[in-house]
Amino acid sequence: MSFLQRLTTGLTASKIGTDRFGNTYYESRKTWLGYGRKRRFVLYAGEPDPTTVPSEWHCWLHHVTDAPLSEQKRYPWQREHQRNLTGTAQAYRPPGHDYSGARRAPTAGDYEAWTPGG
Amino acid sequence: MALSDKDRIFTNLYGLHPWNLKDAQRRGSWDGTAAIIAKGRDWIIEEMKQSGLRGRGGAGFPTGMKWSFMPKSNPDGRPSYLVVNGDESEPGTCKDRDIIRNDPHLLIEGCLYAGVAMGAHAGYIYVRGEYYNEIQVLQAAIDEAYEAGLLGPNAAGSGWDFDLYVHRGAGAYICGEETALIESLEGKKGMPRLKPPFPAAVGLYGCPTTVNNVETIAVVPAILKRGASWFSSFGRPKNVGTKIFCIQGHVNKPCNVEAEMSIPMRELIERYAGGVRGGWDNLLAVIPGGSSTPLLPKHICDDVLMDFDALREHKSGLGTAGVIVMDKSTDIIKAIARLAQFYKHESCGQCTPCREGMGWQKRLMDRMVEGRAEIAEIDVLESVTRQIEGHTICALADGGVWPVQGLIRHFRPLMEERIREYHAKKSGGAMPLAAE
Amino acid sequence: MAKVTIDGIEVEVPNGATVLQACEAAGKEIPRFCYHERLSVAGNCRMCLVEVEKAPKPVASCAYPVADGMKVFTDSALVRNARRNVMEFLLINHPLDCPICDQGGECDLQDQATAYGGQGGRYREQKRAVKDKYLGPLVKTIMTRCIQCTRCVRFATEVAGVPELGATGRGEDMQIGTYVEKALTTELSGNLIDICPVGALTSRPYAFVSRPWELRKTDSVDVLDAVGAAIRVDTRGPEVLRILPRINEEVNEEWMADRGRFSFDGLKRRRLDRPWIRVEGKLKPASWQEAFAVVAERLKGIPGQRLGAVAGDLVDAESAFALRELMVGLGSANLDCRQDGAAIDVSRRDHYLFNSGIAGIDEADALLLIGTNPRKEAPVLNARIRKRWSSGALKVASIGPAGLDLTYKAEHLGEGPDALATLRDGGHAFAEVLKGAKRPMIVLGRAAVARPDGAAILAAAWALAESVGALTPEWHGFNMLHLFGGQVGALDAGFVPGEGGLDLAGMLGGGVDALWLLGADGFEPGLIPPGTFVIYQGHHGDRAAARADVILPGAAYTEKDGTYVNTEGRVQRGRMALHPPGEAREDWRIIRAAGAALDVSLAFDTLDALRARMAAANPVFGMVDGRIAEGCHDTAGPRLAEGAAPEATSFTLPITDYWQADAISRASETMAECSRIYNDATPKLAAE
Repeated sequence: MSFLQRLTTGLTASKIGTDRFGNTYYESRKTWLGYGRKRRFVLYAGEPDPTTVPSEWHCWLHHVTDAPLSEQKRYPWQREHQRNLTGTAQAYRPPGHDYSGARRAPTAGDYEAWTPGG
Repeated sequence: MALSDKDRIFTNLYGLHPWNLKDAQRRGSWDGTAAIIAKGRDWIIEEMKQSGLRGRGGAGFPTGMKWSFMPKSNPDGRPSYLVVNGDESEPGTCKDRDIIRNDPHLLIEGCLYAGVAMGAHAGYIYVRGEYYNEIQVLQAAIDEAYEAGLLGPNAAGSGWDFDLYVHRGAGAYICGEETALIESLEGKKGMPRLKPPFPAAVGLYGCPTTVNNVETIAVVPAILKRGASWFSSFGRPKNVGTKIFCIQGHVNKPCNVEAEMSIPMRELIERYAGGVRGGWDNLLAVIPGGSSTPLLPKHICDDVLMDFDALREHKSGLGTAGVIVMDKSTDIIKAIARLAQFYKHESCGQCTPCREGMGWQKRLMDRMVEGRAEIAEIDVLESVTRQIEGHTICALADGGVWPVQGLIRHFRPLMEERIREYHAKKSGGAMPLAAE
Repeated sequence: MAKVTIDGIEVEVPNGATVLQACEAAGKEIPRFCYHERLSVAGNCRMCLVEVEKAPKPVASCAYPVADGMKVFTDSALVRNARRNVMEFLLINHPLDCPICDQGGECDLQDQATAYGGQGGRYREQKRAVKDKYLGPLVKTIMTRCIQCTRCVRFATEVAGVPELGATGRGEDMQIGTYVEKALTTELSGNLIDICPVGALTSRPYAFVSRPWELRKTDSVDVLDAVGAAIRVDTRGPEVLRILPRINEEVNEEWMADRGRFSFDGLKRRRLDRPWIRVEGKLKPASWQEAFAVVAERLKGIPGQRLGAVAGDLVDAESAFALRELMVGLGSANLDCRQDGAAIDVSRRDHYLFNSGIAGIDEADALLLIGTNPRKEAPVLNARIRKRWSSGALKVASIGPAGLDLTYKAEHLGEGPDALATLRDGGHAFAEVLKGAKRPMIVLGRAAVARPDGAAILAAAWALAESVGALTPEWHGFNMLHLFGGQVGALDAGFVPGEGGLDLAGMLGGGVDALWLLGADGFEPGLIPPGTFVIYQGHHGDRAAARADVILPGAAYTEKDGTYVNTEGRVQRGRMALHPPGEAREDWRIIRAAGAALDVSLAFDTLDALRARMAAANPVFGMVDGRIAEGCHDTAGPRLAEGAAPEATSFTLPITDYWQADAISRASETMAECSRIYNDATPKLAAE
């Protein structure tokens, strides 16, 4: 974060919190004209990547909730938040994908050839 | 002008005397049977036409004309059949039951005349299965008649062979419809057949058949013995004769009574049934002809005549003359909702409008009872009933929607008020849907 | 004739026709669900309501007879309203799950709701849900979608002749089902799927597979039985997804047998997709060049009369004819297409055809079945017999195994050929029925002549036909019922022993050194003498492939343009719906290429040239979609066995397992499942 950015942010907005990935969340001090409410925004910890915002903070960012949701309250069915891995080495590849090295599963159009003894 | 005792056809309607052959003969049954049959088939049909008797099963089709549709000869060797409809399932009607129970020989003798008139050597009496004791009586009476030579070969010495069988229904309202009755008699599922062909051409087992109501057949001996003009002297033109009315509900003395046609409703109720509970002014509405006819509110009941045409003018019908009287303590919407439930249960499921529509109607009515609906839904209900009416094979659907139509016609303000009450009670909350 | 005015258009229709038929004659579309041309009229869906002048209510046009001078309105406000109302009622309890419904896109309810329905629903109550029923391995049910049109009930009862379906309950609770849960015991169950106007009965193998608009549709002919039903092969990419019948009034009306309809998944299993050659006792994959080189090398030293060829039951006439040309070019007359050894006299065509014609059953008034169970051998033809029988005009008797359930009443006259003699001598009352009949039919099963005394039986059956007056110039009452779609075509192509040639028994008896099997899986390959060089050309590795020394992969009937002749001698063309798998080729091309490798000049390079040669050799191949229908002008019978008498052994039936009767259905998993369920000796009920 550049000094200038830190300065303007500190002047116009107040820090609300930081999530477990280090992204910091701010709310503007004034209600924005034409927007009708205070502006909420995030400064990313690393590369600007919107998918790093966990769902608790995503709700708050989009004015779904008034206050940020607790990151401590977890349900057994909740999975850990994961950023979008597309374009990285860990990107999802379906079974049988060339890069994953597996063999393609038979598709409906395939036929089963006869072999002697088969 | 009440019907005098000497003009009564059903002299043992209340079972004051034994039903058996000896006593029945003392009351005039089986008197001169052979002589009447000797006058011939055409004479019988002509006499029936002259008498102006209209079918007592609900539709009111002239009986003589119906008989005359039967083929005079059967070149292809098909026999003709007489079928008597004793599947009396209409809520509010119990006239056939008393005839079978207390005066079976009137029916049996009538069957013989009808058989002669339509060239049938076999007759089937289809009685609803719930009339267990009545069937015992009827069977015993038929056995008696066989023993006395009144049925079987050369029945009653007339030279006409006639056999009569009793068949028990299995408890379906729809089997009172003539073609469904024929199907049921053949051992199939009781579902109405398409018409044409009419039963007079292709009926029971594919043979010419006429289906008549028990009461219709039971009045035949009296007509033939006492003359068509005697019978037609009662009532108004086209609505002649005597008729058994079943008066029930909120009256002081519910009863079956034989009265002349076109008797004013108020006279019928006050003279024979001891009047409405709490006086005539306590009357709310009357269903004049069994459950499938639209109800009539009090102001119409004041001066309406009980016959086919007068009731039709008021968009109701005589039906089977089961007069259901309701006083002001009645929740009329709930009463009609109960009828809607009955027709939903009894729809045979053949035609789409009836099968699907009866359930819809019943569910709408259930909500109307509570008022859990929108006022606009009364119009939906009305249009649903109109959509069902006249689009089906048989008349069950028509009979099933008429009570609801009658309710909307005469008691719409009451329904609206109930809906408003419900909304007032629930005010603040959103209108709940049925799914909730 | 009655003159009827439909919307101002005057049409003349026969007396007794219904208003609906009159409307169709006037070109007016009447929506309907329960009405079906080939079933009895139920009149319960109420969708076909029209307005008739002077009628107080709209009438159901499907059941209302026309009267002279009647005026009908099919597009008045009353009618439009009535249709909209009925449609609303049909839809209130319909689940409206079109997006997941297999009928979507070809659903009568969908189409008619769009055309005749209202704008939206007013129904706010609970919808009905119905438990699904089990109707066997082929028909899937989603009974909540059922609109109780009872078409399926009427089809099962009237056409299929298995009164196992019915409606239980009444009113809203009416449900279609078998009451006791069990698979429908009919070979025509697939037609239930076609006649169901909604998605209540759908194809189990096709469930959730495709949408109709994704499919490429190719007209073809069913070859898995000898009826030759007109079919439509629906393909997507490289696979057949379903097979549906087309309408052909002369042959299958609009029905189709289950084996033809559901065995297509066998087209994807056990396929021969590359040539194989036997090297040191083991089959090795090879290229076409290698395979032909081996064929040329091995056949070089063998004289023509030591070569033989056998054609199978599913071959198209083109490949049979081409192989015959090749064998003739190689100097061989050892040809046979009768794998079952049937004593068929090919000197005249009417000795081996179903001469009365399939449509001729509709005119027959007496029918004798000899050694055949048409219900298993030709279910659609059996339905036609049943149709005629239920009209009351046909009397049926059978000679063969007792206790057959043919779906109609057939008098059983005896189990063996002796009953034929008794019948001919008038020793049985049915002889009088046959003699008295105007159009008697003698139906001889192909299996009845596929026995050592077959020739004598053929002669006896012909003689019986002659003695009862079935052979007249107006009516040919001698009929042979074949089993598979390729059998008659191969006979017509002349694939039978030539002058001095050996038949199959002679070839297997050591008469040949090399044997070319063209899809011939109908006999036990172990009978081929060791040391015989075997070339197998075909599409499935079924029975014979493992015995072969060279395998030439061919095309199945969906993969080639082919001519097939059905049992009544009707020449029909199947069209290529998809390409053969892998290296496999159309059979006539393989034979043409083999001819080049063997230095035999074959006088055709294209399919058209081949067909022209076929038509020149046998003019019937020029009459596509037609058949020569004429009476019998020469009552001289087959002369295979002068003086020989039939033996006393009882007739046996050829098809013991309907579901696994040919190479394709034996490879099909669906058919294996059917076989398992329907041949299960212990009924399912016992477990319950």
